[in-house]
Amino acid sequence: MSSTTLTYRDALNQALREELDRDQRVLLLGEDIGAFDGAFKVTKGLLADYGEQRIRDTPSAEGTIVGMGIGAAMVGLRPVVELMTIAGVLRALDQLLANAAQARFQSGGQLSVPLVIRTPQGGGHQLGPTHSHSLEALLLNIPGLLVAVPSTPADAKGLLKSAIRSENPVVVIEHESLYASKGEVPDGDHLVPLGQAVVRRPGRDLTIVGISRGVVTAIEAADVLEREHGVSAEVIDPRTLRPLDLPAIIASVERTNRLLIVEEGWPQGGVGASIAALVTEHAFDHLDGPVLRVTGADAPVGYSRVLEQAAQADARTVALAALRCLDRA
Amino acid sequence: MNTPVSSAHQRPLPDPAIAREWLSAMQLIRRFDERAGALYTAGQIGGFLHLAMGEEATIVGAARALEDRDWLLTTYRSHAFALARGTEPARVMAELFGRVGGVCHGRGGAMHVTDVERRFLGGFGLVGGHLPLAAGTALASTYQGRAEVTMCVLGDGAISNGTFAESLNLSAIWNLPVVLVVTRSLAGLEEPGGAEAAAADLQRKVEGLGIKTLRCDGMDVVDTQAVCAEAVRIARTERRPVLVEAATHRAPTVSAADATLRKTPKADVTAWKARDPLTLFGDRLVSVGLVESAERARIQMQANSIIEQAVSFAGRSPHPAGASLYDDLYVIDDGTPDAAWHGVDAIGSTTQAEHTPHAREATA
Repeated sequence: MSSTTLTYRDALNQALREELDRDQRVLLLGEDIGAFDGAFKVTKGLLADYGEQRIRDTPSAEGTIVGMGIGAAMVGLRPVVELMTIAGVLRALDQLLANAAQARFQSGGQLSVPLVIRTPQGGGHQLGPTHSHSLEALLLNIPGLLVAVPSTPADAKGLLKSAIRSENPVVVIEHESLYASKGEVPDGDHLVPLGQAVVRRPGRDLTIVGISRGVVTAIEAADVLEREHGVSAEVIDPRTLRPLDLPAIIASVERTNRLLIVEEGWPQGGVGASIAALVTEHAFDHLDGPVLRVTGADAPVGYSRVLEQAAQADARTVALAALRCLDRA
Repeated sequence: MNTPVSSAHQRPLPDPAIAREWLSAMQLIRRFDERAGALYTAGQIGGFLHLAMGEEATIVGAARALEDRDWLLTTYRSHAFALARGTEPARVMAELFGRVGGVCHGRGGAMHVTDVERRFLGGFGLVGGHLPLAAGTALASTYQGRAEVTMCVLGDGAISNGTFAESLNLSAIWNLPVVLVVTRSLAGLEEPGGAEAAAADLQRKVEGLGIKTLRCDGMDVVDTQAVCAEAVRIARTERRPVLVEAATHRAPTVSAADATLRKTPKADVTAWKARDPLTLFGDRLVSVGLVESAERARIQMQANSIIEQAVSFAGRSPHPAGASLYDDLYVIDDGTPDAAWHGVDAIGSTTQAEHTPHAREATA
């Protein structure tokens, strides 16, 4: 299949266009997604090309927008709801938990909610404590939801398209600092299955699982480890947190016997905590040392550039943690 | 003020067959509640059980304003709406028993009865939580060019929830065909909702949004059906939201417990009995000769018989297997490796060993 170099942002835009073209049931709801092209310009040009029936600007009423998406999905549409920031997910958490995640279960399989929520998370733009957090762990906690965390433009396209076609409610968590990143994106109908991890960089000495932008940081750290320490790190990107491709992570650990997890969210009850527990439970005999994590600081993200950077680990910190994982630091 | 429509202005009765069907439907709900209340006290039914006793006219009147193609979403008093919509009483009772034969296979219970085949999208357990969904189903109808209407039944507690303002605003700006039926309890002497709502007058509360409000006597099935039918007609033809305020007086017990009823002052019980919508409607039909006393008795006997069969069915229906806990949690997507749906449980989880993905059949 041919490919084109695209930004993460444009890859998402392409996915939306292809699904809007393919399926008349797809419509978009969100704050400023139409006339303003979206807070991060992901929906650029869609209003002009698809019209106001399908590209719907909404008031700032996140819980209700998501609830409307749920209702519309229950009776046959495939709504894609954009929340301008993951803080909006908090306002909609009640709808996501009580209705989106549980409707199918609670009705004994009568209802389905083929709904997609798209929302950006993560710091890096000096937006202070309300707009900078990484909250995938909150969503991962909820049985009934699926959670995708694309880290490359190709996955942004392929996961979003799979999410739109899924019969399940899927939250696609994008990263604010990745929108401008570029990569090769397969042209045409490129689908990435939900629940299929990928090895981003093969290695022998330890496994680093990266979450969202943590994958990018992990790859940078792996380069540092190889160049400066002769360490061969394997980087795994789960791509979705639910379904979780635990077998792929365990298969890697069986080869390397060491595991480090890199995420930007908070440490307590975080994604890494969950994966560490699962690997310890399911593959303890293959571990030659404790599972370690690099996470966001256990504090809010500050506005000041210095405070913002202090809240997130860089590649050097990840490399250091990897050496500790190997008893070499 | 929210004065109920005076009985001095009673609306004319519908055709005899229709009137008898309404009486039968109300009688069925009443008998269901009488039995379910007793079974709740006896421990056969768990959780919360919000009886509909006294609200039968509102429930049947509202449901009979809908066509089969219309969508219905309600409060947690959902067992009664399912009965009004035509769900088999046996499957509703089995749901309350938490059995496999329940309409939701025992996974929802009394607050979450759902019958999608009859376009009843469910009872919703959290106050106001279903209002956005109703706007969403109405949006889907409009988007797909279908003339369906969505009816959303809520209690007056929900008018102070943020979903009320947000959903009505979106329904108004997008011209969505949704009928909100607000049941206002007039059991007490105080202004309904007065303690909780700064603007207890619903008409004034929503007129700034350009939303039309109609009122009905929720204790009179004829008035309720007529007013709700008018609201549905407006929503269907003019494609806009309409609000109906139904004044109700539920029997002086909120959740099922005979003990509560016993503690209720006798005067309150007497006052309610004088307004009992089932008795009043039956009396009216007999007094005008539309139904003979013998037929009224036959309708009662028939309801009793149907409900006894429902109780018997529910009691015989098996409990779900513990391993079925994961059924219908997800639709297993094509392309997603089966292994990814496993293994996410902690080792110590009670059902981990038995866990297999079941949902694939459901997608076929």
